[in-house]
Amino acid sequence: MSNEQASKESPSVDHFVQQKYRHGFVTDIESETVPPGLNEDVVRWISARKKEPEWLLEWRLDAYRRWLDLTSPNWAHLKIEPIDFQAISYFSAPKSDKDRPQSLDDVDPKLLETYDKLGVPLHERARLAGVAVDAVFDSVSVGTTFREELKKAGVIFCSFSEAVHDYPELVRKYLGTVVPTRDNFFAALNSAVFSDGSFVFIPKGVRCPMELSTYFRINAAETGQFERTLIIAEDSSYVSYLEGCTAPMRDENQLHAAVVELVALEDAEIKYSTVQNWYPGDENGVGGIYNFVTKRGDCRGDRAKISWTQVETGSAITWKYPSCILRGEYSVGEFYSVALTNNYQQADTGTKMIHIGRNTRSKIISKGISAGHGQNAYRGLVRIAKKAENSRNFTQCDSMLIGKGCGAHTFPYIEVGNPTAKVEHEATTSRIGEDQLFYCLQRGIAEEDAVSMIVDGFCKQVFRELPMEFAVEAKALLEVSLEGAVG
Amino acid sequence: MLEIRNLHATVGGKPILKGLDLKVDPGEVHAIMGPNGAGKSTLGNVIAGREGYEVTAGEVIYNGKDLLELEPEERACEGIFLAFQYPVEIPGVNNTYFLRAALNAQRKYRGEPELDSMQFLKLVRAKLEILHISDDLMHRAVNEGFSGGEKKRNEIFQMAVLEPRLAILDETDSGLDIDALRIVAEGVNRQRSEKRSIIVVTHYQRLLDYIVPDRVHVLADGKIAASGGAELALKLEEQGYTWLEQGGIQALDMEIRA
Amino acid sequence: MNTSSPMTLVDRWSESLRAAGPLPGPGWLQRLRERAVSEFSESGLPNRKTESWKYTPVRAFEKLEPPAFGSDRGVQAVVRPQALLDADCTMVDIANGVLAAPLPEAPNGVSILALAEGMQRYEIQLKRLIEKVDLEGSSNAFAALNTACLEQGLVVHVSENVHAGALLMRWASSAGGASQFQSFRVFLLLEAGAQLDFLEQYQSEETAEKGLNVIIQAELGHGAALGHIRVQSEPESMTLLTSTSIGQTADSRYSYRGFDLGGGMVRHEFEAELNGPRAFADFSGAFVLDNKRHVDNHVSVDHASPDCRSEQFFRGVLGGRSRGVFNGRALIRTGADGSSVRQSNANLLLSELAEMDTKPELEIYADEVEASHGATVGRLDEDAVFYLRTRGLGDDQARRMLTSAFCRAVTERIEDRALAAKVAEMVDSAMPGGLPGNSAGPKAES
Repeated sequence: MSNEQASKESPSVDHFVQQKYRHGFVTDIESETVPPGLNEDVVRWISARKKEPEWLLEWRLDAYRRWLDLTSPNWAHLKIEPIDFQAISYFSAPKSDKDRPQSLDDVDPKLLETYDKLGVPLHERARLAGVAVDAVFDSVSVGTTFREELKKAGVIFCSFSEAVHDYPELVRKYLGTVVPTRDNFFAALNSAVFSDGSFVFIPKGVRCPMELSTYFRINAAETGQFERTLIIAEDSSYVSYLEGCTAPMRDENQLHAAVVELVALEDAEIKYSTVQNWYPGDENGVGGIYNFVTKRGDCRGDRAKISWTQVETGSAITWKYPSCILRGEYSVGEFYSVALTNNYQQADTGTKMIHIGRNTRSKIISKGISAGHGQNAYRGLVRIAKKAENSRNFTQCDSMLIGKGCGAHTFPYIEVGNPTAKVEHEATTSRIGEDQLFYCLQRGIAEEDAVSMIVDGFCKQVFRELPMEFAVEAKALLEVSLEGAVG
Repeated sequence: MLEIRNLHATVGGKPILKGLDLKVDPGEVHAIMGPNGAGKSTLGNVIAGREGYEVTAGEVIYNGKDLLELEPEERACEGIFLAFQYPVEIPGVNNTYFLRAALNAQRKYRGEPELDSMQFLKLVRAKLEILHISDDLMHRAVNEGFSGGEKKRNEIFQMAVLEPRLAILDETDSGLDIDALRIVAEGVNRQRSEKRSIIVVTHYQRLLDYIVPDRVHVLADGKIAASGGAELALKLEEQGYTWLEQGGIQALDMEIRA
Repeated sequence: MNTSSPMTLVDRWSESLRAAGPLPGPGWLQRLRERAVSEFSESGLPNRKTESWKYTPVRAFEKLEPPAFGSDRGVQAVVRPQALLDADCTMVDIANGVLAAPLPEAPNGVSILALAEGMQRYEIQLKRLIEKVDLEGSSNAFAALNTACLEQGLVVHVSENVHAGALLMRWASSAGGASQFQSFRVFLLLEAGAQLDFLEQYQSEETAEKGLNVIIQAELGHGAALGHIRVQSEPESMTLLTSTSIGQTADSRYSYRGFDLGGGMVRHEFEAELNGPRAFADFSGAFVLDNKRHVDNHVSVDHASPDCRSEQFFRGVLGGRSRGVFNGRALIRTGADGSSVRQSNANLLLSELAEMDTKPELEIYADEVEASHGATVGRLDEDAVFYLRTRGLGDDQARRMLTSAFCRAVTERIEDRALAAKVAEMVDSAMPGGLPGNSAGPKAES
């Protein structure tokens, strides 16, 4: 493997310490990208460039070394060409304004057409299409207003880099405590080279006054490749966080490996909603984002609750299992998911519910839709530990097939070690109902509309969990993503 | 309005309709009766354009158009409504939402402006009362968890909202108790008009006590075996279908001719 | 730890397999055995990281001697269990992994032969089947072992349209003696329209540690029907591995009714290939576990042809520190339209220390399918217990009645009513003694 090679090429730490000074990192920091490849030098470079404290650099290096010992997971139901991790550039600064489109007139009309279909607000289109920042007045001002209001409530919501500088104790206390650096190949990679992301801290007893959204986050552009998010909800607090947006995101980077860590203390609740619509590749399966995400929430306190809702329609490859560790007694974990694969998209997604505390509850609702040549797999683990008395899980995972060339797969792992637990798993797989289609057609509804109507109905249980506007957008997104699925 | 000539149709390669002729004029109510397996439901499905029902010969002319050339949704937009024998459940799709989508698709087809939700609600409320359908039913998913009677009432309610020109009621009476039957029949009768034709497909005569047809046809072995006025239905009820098979048709023919 | 002897089990066993030298049989078989030995010694035993062995501990094998050869295994000392069916039914006995002579007289159109004779008559078919067994990788280590010492076996052939009736195979091992690891292979060849009821009874006296590694390979011709019933009540010193594969052509039917009421470490693997339209495979099993016993059921059905149906229906009752595993898999290949799959696995955990791991998988590449699966793990429904108590039953009695009814769902699937009743009784008496709040279970009384 290429990382072995990297380790051979990496001299000892001492050597680096010397080297660092000899080469003078300061000048290098000004450059916009590092050359392809990953070694300790690159990790040091990224950390220095971001002016990070020593402990974080050590943390990154530790992750890097662990990464060298790990191998890329091969158990998922995905066909992936081997990724050459030494051919990737691990840092690129945001493009300067002069390299960006100067106005919407410079943007690909096809992209604008999609925004139109999705009903993306005008002022958002420019930002999404990557138009130069100073052209996007609205979103900046909106962001600033929100920040003021949050500050009043005591909520911290900022970029990860800012948090490292402004709230280092908080970051240090929680970083890597939910997803350890050695957790898996991609989490280790992210830990070594993460670019930026979001940091949220909700103090004790505070109910966050608004939905927090990456949508309105300033400076969020192009942090996508190795994003790192950390959300901490102190005792009795509440936050609802929205990630991503329905509009197709332009991104030059093919490999994405994000890590999201959630910590919910006693009586706290975190609701995390995602709409993922990265570029899925074209109708022939050429191009598209590889999305390898590690998302995990830790219900550390009693009666804590973490709820994941995701609508996954993008990416060529999706590898993602937002999970809950139910440590606190009476804590609750939820996972609601819609995953759609069309054309040649592949998704292997699901969740892990690890019941450790007594009286813990979890619920999994997964809806998979496969169309075209899409391959869609649900993979989930429900584990009831020996001490998790009176724990409950209910899982429902349904798959719908549209067309001849696609596949739908279900791989649930259920491990129960306590007799007072109750675990139920139900799943169905069927093609889109011909009777239902005909019924709609007979009432005069066109086939494509009938399909999206039925699919929307199929996904209702999940959409219900999304914040209102997000749900409306998700529905529109599903329609757009299904285009061409009906012959 | 509707003219069917020498219609042959197969289902899964098996011939079901074997030369059926039928002519329905505007404003008429025709009843099609016949024993199980005679092809009654097949006729409804062929007219509505269901996949798997293959027309092997004959033609169906509807308002001067070749109906068989049209897609199912085009037929619906042209004013053909099939009240299903077994209305399908569509989980998660709200009944109101579904019906508005259908109505607006048809209005759009006819070049009429689409109704917004307020206008639609107003329209719906009036019709709901006729069929004694509770508001609650409108907020549930299409047919999901409906009782047999509720499903049938919902079909006739949809018919009331969509105002078709030709409605085919496929065994709408099956599974209904007498009160429900009366409500459904009343709902249908209110929709009788000079411009609307109705084909009532039924196994039993009792529905026809409430919806009195202009013409009654007996469908046997894929063909119209006999036609007559409302009294034919009574005759059938009295004698049963076996009577038909045992040469009753000839006797009946004689009677009608006489 | 004895550091001076670093030889692993795999090394020791491989060495003894090589030392056994050539066994009787055709040259291709000898070559295949040699290949199997090298595959085994190369890949070794599976471990927790081997996906299909994730939940199956293999330490039980450490206690066993290397696989045994030849027929000199103290067969005389084996006590045969009382037959499940009438004593006059067609019966074959296997003692310590050796086919007991003489073989029963076979009905017309049916052949029941030892492997050596079977090989002479059906070499082409047997060769195809033997070569089909996957020997590669640690997950197939025991298949490789079985092939490496392929010597003892039974061949049953049923001619076209012959209804062979019932054939009962009794497996037993002797008390005491060496901790043998025995291998055996069964071939069931059913021509078009043939029918066979194949019953297996595994029952030995309390023994020293013993191991049994059985492979059953069946081929069903057009419209053939194979009924397979297995009742296993071995002592806890028994480590039992079975692997059953069924090749099915159009309109053929296979049904399995399995009951695991004993055994220390038990693992059953099943593989059905539905290679012709309208084939049907139906697997139903119940297991009742106590103490530190372990039972695995791995069922894999491959829908390669349209309009096939398969069902998996397993129920488990787990007490003590036992562990149960169910891994069901259904694959529906592209073009296998009209397939229907049902998987169901329900389990009752009766003790704090018992564990159940279940994994019902679906892999679907065709769109005209109906597939559903369900799995539950939990306790008895307290409402039901309460209901029975309001009708005057004691708590113990109510629980026992409900637990027994839970397994009845599987015994009821045995068509032969008398046999179903007999098996149901056996299931009841195998129930763990420690039902919650019940210190006097059926076992404790006796």
